[in-house]
Amino acid sequence: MLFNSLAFLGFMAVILVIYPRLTLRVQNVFLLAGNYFFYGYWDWRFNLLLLISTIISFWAGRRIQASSNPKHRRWFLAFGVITNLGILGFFKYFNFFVDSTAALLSTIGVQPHTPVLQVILPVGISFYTFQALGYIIDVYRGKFEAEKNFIRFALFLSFFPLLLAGPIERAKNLLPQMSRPRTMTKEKVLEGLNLVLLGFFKKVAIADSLGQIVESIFASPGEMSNGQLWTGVYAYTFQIYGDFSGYTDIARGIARILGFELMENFNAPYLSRNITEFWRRWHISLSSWLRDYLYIPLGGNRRGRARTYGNLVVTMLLAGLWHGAAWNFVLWGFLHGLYLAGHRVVLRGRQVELSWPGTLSGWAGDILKTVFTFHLVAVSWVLFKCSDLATAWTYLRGLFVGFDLSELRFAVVFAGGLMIALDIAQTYFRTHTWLTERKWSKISMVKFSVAQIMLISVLSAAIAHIQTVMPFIYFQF
Amino acid sequence: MKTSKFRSLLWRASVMLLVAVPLTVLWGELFTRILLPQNLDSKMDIYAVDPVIGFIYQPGARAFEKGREYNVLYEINRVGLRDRDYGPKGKQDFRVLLLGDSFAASHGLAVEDSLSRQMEKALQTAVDRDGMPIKIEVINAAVGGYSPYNYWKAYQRWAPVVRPDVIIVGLSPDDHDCSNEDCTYIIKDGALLGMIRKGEDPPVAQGRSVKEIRKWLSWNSQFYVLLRNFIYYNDLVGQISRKALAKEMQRNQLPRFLTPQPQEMERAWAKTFAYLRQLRIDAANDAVEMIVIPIPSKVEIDPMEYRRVLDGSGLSPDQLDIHQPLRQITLNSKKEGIPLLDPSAAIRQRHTEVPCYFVYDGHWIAEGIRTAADSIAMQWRTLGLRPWNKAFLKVENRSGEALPQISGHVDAH
Repeated sequence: MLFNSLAFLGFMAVILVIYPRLTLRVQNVFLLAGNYFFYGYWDWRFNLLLLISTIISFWAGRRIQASSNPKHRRWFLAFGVITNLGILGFFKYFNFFVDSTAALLSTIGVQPHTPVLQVILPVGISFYTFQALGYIIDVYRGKFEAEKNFIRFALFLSFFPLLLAGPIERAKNLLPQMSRPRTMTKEKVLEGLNLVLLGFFKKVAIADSLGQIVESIFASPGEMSNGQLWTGVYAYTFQIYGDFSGYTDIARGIARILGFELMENFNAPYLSRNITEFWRRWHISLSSWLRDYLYIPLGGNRRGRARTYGNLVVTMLLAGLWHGAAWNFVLWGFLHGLYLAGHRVVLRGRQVELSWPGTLSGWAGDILKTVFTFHLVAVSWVLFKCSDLATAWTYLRGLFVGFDLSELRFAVVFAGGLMIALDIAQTYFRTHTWLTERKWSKISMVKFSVAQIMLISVLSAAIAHIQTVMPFIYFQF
Repeated sequence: MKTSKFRSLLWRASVMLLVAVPLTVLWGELFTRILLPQNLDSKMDIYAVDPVIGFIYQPGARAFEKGREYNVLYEINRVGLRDRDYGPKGKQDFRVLLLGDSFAASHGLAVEDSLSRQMEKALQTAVDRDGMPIKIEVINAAVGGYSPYNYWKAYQRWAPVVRPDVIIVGLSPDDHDCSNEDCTYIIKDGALLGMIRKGEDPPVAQGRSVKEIRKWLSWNSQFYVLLRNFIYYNDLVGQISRKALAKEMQRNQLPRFLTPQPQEMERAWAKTFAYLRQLRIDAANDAVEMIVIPIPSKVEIDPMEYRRVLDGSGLSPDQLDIHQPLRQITLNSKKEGIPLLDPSAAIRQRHTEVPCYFVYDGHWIAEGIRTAADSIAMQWRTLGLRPWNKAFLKVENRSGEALPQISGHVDAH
């Protein structure tokens, strides 16, 4: 069920009425049942896969913890990793690999008989699989003790707020919360509701409104003018951000209401001054996961410059593949890998936080760098959005032929401006905590007015879009 | 202490509301205009006061009428009819003047789908088939909101302009109501705002009424239109309002279906028939033939609609005679010798195949009108009415009774 649906409202109402009245152990069981109900609402068969992954990961963790023989530990690690990746690979990538292999063979004159399988893609499989893998690897590395209680572990892997689109939680952050007593306090509930409202504002009011513009332009890019194509790029750039960060805010808000703290997944990514900084601010749970479980094991930046660039490209290639079983996603990842490697080249061994070598500095330079980085990312989203490479190529070609931004729609500028303003405000309030700690009536009035504004925006957009319920973009991953 | 704390809280809450609410509304308007643009209602400022009928369309006016299920253009010709411009009548022209209310005027439909155009097409096909060198013109003088009193007045207004050969009176389900006789219409900037019945005091001007404010908002505020459309046009809300409409139907429309008929209904119909008689006399004096077409309501055609009304009324089926109005019109027409062309059977049959009425609005739609027009043309030809038969049917008071007085407005010709 979608967060922005009546069914979910009913589901949450039941949870919120019963949950606070339960003891810790019963809360865990109740939440676990709720998680499986939530997931099974999409398709009851998804629960079987989740349960299999849970059992395998729990068992692998326990065996790794219990074994002192390094060889056995590696065997259990491999078993846990391969089976989880195998499940993910089959359900997400089977048809992709079969079709790609067949296409490759046909170029050399071989016409293979390809098996046709209607493989359903379980919602959220990429997220909980990575979460499970992170757990198993952390246990193997000795960074975390294997969970002894199956209920707690199952709850960790199936926690409904983050089950469908993350964040990809680390065991050391979320698992201990399953054993600690949790209470729904007034402050937490208010904070949670604020986050939920913010999330809905970003998703329903901003992202879904931009979605109408995006669909109309990306449907037939060959017939669009340069200005319309740029409108589409900017609109999608803010749509995907509003959609994904909105979902995360809702997930974190719901978790907070229930007494859980989830990690932050976005930190004003479009205010990044360079691409490396962008990947520290965008989908933080995935980028940090890839850094810790892929990039660093590959050698990170410790094996010389060439190897560093290669590791970056490989990591981002797989990041692209994680997003979707299609060549446009792979190309998107490859492009970002090149971006990151290119930034390393520019830096020439210096620290990432430094400005460009001696020529541009200060706030003016930062703004220019931010705008440049923003456009690097925005253009790359074309590969992300287009359904195939040919369409993406048509779109990209049209972007760089005959610049004409006179057709840029004010709606996109307005929506983008709102998102950036929100990010700036959040960044400011994060660093000026004394403002939020004060109980001045003026602050209350500002907060109340802002909440009203967000609420009316969400309701208006929900009413306007009532005939077309737009799903969260990241559900497809 | 507690009182002062409460007062302080109340004060802060009031200030917050005073600041936040207007800000929210302003923001709602800005947000809607930029990201969720809505189509504002167009002003139906197409009306003008008329000394004969009461009100007519303004010549040359143009506006879109939007409703739950339609969005149609109203283009008014040079004389004040929702029709094409007509030149002087030629020798081969056979003109039919259509009088009636919103049903005959084909409310909610484009003019190409209207009853006048469809009848023109059907009649022309019939005369062409018989090899008659006649050009049929059916002129639409029907206007939503008219009653049989207005039909009579409309004849006086348009006959000298149009010079018809035949007039058709489309009698709709609520034509028993002639309570608007001799009233004054309130028209402001072309918008029809209301009417003052004879003997009523005019409303005291107390600033803008709620209705005027709502109209102004629907013309200027996209945020208002967004919310209004959600309430009025949403499917779920529409279903609820249909139930409410059924209640209104029970209050306003059911009496004409009740058996035995209440006395006030009998009196109302008598008045209607008196106006029709006067209309016929006036037309006959001009050598113009009159034909009556009873237009069935949805409840008379759609079994589900009938069921809904019956269930909502709390009455038993033998207390409701859904065909009573048609029977009365038919009896009266027979008594007065007025040709009656009834399309009900054809519409009823067609409605079993495709819808002939709007879902929420009670008016008929293009399919119903087309079916009616074909049926009317066929009956017209079968009965041998003009132009097939040039003989003029003489008007007589066949019953021998004196014509009832109609509030002093009947001019003897």
